[in-house]
Amino acid sequence: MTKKILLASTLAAILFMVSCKKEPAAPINESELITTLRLTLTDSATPANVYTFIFKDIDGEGGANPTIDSVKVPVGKTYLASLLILDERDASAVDTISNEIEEESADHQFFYQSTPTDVISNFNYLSFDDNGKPLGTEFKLKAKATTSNGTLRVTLRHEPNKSAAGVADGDITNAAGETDIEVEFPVQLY
Amino acid sequence: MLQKIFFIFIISFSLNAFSQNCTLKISGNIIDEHDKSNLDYANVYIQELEIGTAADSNGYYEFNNICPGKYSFIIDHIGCTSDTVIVNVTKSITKNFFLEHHAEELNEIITTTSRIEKESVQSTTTIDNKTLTKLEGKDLGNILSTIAGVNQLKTGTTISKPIIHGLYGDRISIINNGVKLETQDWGSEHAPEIDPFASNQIRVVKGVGSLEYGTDAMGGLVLMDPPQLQKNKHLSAAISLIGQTNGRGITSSAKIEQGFKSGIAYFIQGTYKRFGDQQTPHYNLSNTALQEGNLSVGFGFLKKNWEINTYYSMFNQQLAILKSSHIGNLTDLKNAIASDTPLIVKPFTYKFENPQQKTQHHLGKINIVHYFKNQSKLDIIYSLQFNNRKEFDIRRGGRSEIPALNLKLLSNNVLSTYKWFKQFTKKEVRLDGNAGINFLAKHNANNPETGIRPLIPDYYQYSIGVFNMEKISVKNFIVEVGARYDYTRFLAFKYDKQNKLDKPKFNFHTYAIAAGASWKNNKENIQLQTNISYSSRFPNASELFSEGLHHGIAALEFGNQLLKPEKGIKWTSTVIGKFRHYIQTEATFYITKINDYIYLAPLPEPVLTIRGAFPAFQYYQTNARLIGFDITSKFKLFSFFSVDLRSSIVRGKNLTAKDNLIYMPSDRISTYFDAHYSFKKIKNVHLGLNVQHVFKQKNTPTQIIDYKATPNAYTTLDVDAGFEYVANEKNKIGFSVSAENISNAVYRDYLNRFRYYADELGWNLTFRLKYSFL
Repeated sequence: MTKKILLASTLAAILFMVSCKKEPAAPINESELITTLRLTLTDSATPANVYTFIFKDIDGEGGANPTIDSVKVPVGKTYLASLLILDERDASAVDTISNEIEEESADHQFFYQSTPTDVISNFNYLSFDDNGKPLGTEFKLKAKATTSNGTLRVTLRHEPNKSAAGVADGDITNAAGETDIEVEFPVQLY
Repeated sequence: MLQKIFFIFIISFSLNAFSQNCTLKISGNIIDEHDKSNLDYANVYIQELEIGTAADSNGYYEFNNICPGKYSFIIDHIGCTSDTVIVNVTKSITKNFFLEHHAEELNEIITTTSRIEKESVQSTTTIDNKTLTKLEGKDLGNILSTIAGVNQLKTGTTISKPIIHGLYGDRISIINNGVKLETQDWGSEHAPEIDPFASNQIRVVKGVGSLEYGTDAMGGLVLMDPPQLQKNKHLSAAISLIGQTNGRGITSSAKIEQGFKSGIAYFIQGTYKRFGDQQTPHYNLSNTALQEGNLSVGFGFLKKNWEINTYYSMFNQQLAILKSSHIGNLTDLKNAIASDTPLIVKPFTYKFENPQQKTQHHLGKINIVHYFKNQSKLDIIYSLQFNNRKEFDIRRGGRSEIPALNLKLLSNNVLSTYKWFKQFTKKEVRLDGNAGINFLAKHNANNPETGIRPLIPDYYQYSIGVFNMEKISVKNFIVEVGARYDYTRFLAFKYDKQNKLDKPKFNFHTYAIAAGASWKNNKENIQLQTNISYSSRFPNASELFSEGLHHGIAALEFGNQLLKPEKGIKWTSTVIGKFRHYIQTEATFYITKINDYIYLAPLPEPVLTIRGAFPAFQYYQTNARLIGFDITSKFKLFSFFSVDLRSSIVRGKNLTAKDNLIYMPSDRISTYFDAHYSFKKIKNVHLGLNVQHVFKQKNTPTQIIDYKATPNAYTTLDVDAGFEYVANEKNKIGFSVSAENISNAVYRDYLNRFRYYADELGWNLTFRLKYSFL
């Protein structure tokens, strides 16, 4: 009797295990990955002079290291800057994340910081959200008059506190929120 | 002020002490129904009075100082089906109880009905129903941490995982009604999905314990026992209502139990819980609301030679996670740490916002028990569990409604055991055996709707395990040995970054061997237990494959497919000493040595991403050693006043890296002063003060950077008071108030992963009202 019950339960369990289908689910299409930040600088005095610099991390977090261009522009000029954010994993179907950010402009804001602070200065927001608060996909900056090296940090905050002190003027200190992008470009003014 | 109240309290006790009129004596013998022999060492328990006694070697028991009334006597004996008999006591009487004798395993720790601790060679601590009532409304981690040597690893205020002797997660097994809980416990921010209200008692075995449940519980076992289905048990019900000020929360629970003469028995239990944002002494913890709805049902046929028990439990929880803990990168983390208060503090609300978790756990079980003529027993348990975990994040493009993680884990488990015993002609020698076979099939699936590369891949896991335990008892001496072997096949389906499918397969062989001995002297005031066990655990899916960013701690985590099973040896020794009724002490010393201990080690270079640079960690193996000591003492200074003392110490070392282990509980000591007294109608009147001091953790790893200095030592004070009003033998109302952190101390705990962001909770008042119908 005991043996029969044991045998039956064993068989039932083995049958159950074997009968399971072992098939993987479909791969998950990542929808929120940002691979590329494209910074375009246009000489405000001579709009024909356009410079483009790219930060690209095609495989997302981990994996291969990102590639970062150096921002090499002539000294002493004022530039109109624009930022394009892309998901370029699939070259045939590039996703423009900038559109999503612009749709949710009230929940996003870009910040710019230069080290040393005088290498690039006079940052001015040129694009705004529906409430008239800065968004910053377009902005203006001024390059130092003498040949110099430094870095330019571009930060995108999600759900920042746009009404905190200084935030509307581009000061990141009180912005809070969550960082979606934080990229540092080396800068060489020639 | 407090001292004054306390003083008045004591005075009022002494004044009333003489108004009692309860002098009746109930005594008799416990007798085998078949051969009319006296059953030695049976347990007799009076349900209404919550008192119990054990019969002596001749089957004789007695209760003294009993008030007149109608009582339910629960009698059980090793090898017998327990029985409930209702006796109307009007004068001192002699009452004999008859029991049907079956074989039941001495070591059986699941279907035990005894309210008095069964003999074990393992260090086991029981949180009984009375203590559970005092802690009603708290989560499992909180309840378990009242035991010396058990701590909690917390993520914020609502997520808590038990740590036993310095080990947590997969190294601890939680057993719900005889079934190992299969959840997503690989994540440190994943609390066990279980409702403590569904249990009548909770036991913690600080060792490998029974080998029935696996080879991997090197930390220990938590056994949750639901109400026991009993034949001929009259209808009883209980309703609890609990309100708390911190979080402005309410918890309600109801339970009904009944057993008929025909052998049909059932219970139904349900819980609902809801609270909003909780508060620290100085600010609101924005987005820390919680909601829970749970149900458990048991139904059984209990016959002379067989039993069928069915059980179903459902757990549903939604919990919000502190908004300020959600950070994008290392700069955010540094900003959060630099700020003394959380960066986001909003007014109180009951609302849930992202980040949040929604979890569901279903457990169904069928248990068939057959008693043979030779008094042996066959026990087959089939269980099916379904666990669904959804985690919601703050996302872009209107995707916040879509979970960022949606995992479904389905587990099938068959556990067949055969238990027998042999009593030698010399009654003092007894041999017990327990052998079994265990099958497990698990499937974990990611729901592709998330649109985020999964943290752990889909996988299938099949295990087969066999075990055998033998125990010999000679007079006051018990020796137990056991072994278990498990074979596991693990198949994963992992997509790489180019969406190419990889199908890694693993075969794991794990073993457990346990040996233990227990001795007590004839007076039963000294008991010694010692155990040595070898156990092994294979790496889980997270340790093998995890790949991604942990938002709460701003770190990238990578799995390691080269990991081998961990192998641990734990040696535990316990001394239990009693001095009359005045002093009772239990001290446990242990050493755990784990080879190939799996842990997260920092990678030398941070990883640069578009969100900035992140520190990166990978799972590696090392050799680790944990040494610790727990002590629990109870001093009954007067019949109405007792002092409990609890303390624990543990030290964890990474032997290969010559460093300390991370997340080791800091030293702590707590003292509970309890004044209690029972009047004729108003019983269990009590006033308690608990003082807990937690020392600063000075033994932190030096090779793993901590972003914030280890929190300082802290002391918390809790007060509780209450009484039970016994209207008649059928109706009872209990009321209690407890005040936690009455000094509103501001502190942070080393084992709370959110100590980077916020303080621990401020003071809280909890009101508990319980109506019981017996």
